[in-house]
Amino acid sequence: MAEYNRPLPLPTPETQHFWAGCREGELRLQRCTSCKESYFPPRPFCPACSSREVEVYRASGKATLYSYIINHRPRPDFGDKPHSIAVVELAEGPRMMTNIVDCPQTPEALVLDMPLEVTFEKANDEISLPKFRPAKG
Amino acid sequence: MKQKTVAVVGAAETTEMGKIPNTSQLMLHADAALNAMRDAGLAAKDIDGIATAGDSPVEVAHYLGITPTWVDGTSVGGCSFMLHVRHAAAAINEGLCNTVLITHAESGRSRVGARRFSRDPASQQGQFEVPYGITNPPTMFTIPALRYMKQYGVTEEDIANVAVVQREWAAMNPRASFRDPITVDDVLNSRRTSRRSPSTFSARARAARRR
Repeated sequence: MAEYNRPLPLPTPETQHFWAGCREGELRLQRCTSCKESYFPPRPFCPACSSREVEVYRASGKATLYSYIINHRPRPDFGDKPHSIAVVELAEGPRMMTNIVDCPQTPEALVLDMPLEVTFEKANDEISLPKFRPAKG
Repeated sequence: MKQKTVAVVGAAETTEMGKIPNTSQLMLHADAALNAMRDAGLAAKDIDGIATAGDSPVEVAHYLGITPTWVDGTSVGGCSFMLHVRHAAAAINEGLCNTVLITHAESGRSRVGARRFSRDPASQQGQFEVPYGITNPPTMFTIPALRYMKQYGVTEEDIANVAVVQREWAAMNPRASFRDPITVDDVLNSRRTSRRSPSTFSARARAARRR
């Protein structure tokens, strides 16, 4: 697909587990084993209490729509139609940037706090991007 | 901070304003600097500190013929230059230098000698934001706005009024690019016709509609 002329992430040692998870179809978060805070983006320490004792776990993939914009400015690599750029709040707490997919890119279809679920968009053999779609049921 | 020990002794803008396609970004720094130095009655040899953001303070110092003993390249967005003023005052107070030149230049429309925006794909933004299509203010500053509107009950008209009031202030500035008064309706209607001129605000108003 032409769409993967888009910019893609270059994983670093600290984020490998996250991108490996996406490649395997699971959303991985990290959590502090002392203060129990879940956080994102990935790093080998807790941003809430500075502990290095952290673990990786599989997140539920459930989220709600925190905020978004529908971009009308030209981005040929994203196609010729307006597209959403969103921030979702994961059920585990952290927020992440993403696109909302599998639904019309309109204000009527995209309502703040609507329930969402993760889906993975394969860009190449290394990278799949976590995206979100309206939750089914 | 110690009071009344440091003063702004000169200030100026570039000689021309608006679109300046015949001048590089580095020369815009120098043009504004030369005007400010003339305003203060100073020359390069009188200046021993320099600060800028976006471009390198080393490059600006070399270009102007300044040999600084104090330099500040703090670069944290549009507020960098206000921080430079604080840093410069602190440095002068501390005896690190006597006279600081602070410059800002952006060949924002003509892009002559302007640095390209690029983000390392291994950076935090490169890994976790850029792949979703953010590029510049219309796609970055607007995302929090929609949440803010829902959380605080702010309407599209409220936000449109910000642009209206900003234009009122601009009308008082003879060097402003846009000085004609606008109304809230003008701002709200601009989004329907603004594919050719999608200002940050029209994108924000567009986001606001999606509540």
